[in-house]
Amino acid sequence: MFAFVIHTAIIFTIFLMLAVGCNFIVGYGGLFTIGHGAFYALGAYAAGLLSTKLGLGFWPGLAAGGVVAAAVGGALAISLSTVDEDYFSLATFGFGIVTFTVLMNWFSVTNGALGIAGIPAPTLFGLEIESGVPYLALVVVAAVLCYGGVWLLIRSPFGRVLQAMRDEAAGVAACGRNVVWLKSVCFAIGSFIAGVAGVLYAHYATYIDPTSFTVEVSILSLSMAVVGGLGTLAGPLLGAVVVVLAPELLRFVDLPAGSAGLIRQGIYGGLLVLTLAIRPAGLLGRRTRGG
Amino acid sequence: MGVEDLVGVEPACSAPGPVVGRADSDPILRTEKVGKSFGGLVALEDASIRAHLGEVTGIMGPNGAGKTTLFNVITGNLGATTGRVFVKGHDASRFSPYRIARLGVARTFQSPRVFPSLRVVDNVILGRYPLAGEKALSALFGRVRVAKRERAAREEALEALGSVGLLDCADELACNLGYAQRKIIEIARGVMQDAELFLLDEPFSGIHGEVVSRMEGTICGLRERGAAVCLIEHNVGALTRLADYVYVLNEGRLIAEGTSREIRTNPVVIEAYLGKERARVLTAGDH
Repeated sequence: MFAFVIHTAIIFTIFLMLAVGCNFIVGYGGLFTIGHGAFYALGAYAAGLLSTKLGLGFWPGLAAGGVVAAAVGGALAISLSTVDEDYFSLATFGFGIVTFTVLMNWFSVTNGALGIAGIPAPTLFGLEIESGVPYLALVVVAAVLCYGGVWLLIRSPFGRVLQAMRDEAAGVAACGRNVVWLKSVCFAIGSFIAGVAGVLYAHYATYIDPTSFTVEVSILSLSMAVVGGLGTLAGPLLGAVVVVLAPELLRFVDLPAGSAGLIRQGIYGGLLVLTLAIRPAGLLGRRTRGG
Repeated sequence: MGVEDLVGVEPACSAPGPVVGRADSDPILRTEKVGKSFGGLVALEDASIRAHLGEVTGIMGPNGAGKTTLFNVITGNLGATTGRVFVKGHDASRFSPYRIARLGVARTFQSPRVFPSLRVVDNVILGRYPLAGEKALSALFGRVRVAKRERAAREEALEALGSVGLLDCADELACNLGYAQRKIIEIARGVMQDAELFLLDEPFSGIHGEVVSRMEGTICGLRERGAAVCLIEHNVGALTRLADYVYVLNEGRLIAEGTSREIRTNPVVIEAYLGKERARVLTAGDH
């Protein structure tokens, strides 16, 4: 039971990081991405490949995973600079699917459906960070750093111009800001956090395959951000609690085997629809628009 | 529109100097035969205008005349199909909006583009570019220096708000402000930008009563600071009272230009606005 709680806490914290990054991109930058899982995958695969094929340590891998995700995310945002809103969402959705397909089929690099096994546990000053409470501590520290970074960014002039862009992109351009670049930086930062989450997941699970990085992860990230309240600092935390932990409670209900996964997906969808219907700005959302 | 709109209006600005040497001095804005087509639809054709510092240049015309299209071409929101745009002597025809803005061009929109979830003072601060702390790294690691610069910027923004009479709502969220006030925020943003050229798209539409005279005062204030103001308006009365020089667009073409006085009595203009019959009656009465 204790091990289960720790495991759930680790997974929860990793997903919380996804929610924080997704909220940064969608809630503060106004870039409605449905491809957040792809950057989680990039981080995980970067770390997995670097550690198993090149024998690179955990810490360089952590940086590399974040940087790879950020670079690809930034480039994706620039390449999508001419599409807006719904089309942007669709394109990021497509990017998520393409990423999954590439991981599945680029056998020589990603090992396809067989995945990458034997990703070592991280070490700190020569000591192995064991799975369990020590790993939970590591993940929590990473999440706190990311959360803190986002908090600092949002309250800075950078955060202000980001939120202005979300409100009214043409107005920001009229104020002399390069909107394409801003979108790219915003997307890169959110993707960086997803990449770091991916690295942490890979070293925790020690084995990754494409099925951990389906479109479902992207939808889950978005659900957490939306349910908690887009563009609020505490939103991702609350969203992660509701979206990740609520389905875990199902474990304690006697369900026929095989239907739990489906019910879980039903819960994500239901929460998303309910939120948008009853509180479009999310549980913590302020109503700033209108009038 | 009535006849009284076209005749006998007093200039609004206190020092409506005569337009001297327009041909000689360097204009801050010059368009050269710019045209814009959307597929087969010609929205704008061969429009050549100039705007000078310290002057209000009016752009007048009925709905659909191409006024906003002209602005959009100047600010880079639309690429010109033909012709060129010069700002401060730079060929800015292919510039994107943010580069035009960095040349010192402030623009307001027909429906104001303010940032509703930010406070009014932050809306205005954003007029300034560059601002300390807008790079993600300096936002994370240069916080002391940024905070200091930020205080200075805030002071300046409050000053800009004071100059347009919006000081008392500086700390309100912009979403709580009315339409007219949002229009004024956009102008304050331009003041904060130290813009030399203001492109105002129908600043008088949708505002009434006392606010109109405040808007007039604000525009005169910009002119007195030495800025060039380009003003789109289809209300002839308001426009000719404010403008030193007026261009008249109709169906995408420039049909007349001249000082306010010349425009008010120009038969071509009256005809475009009131139709042939009324125009004949009016101009016959004039002579």
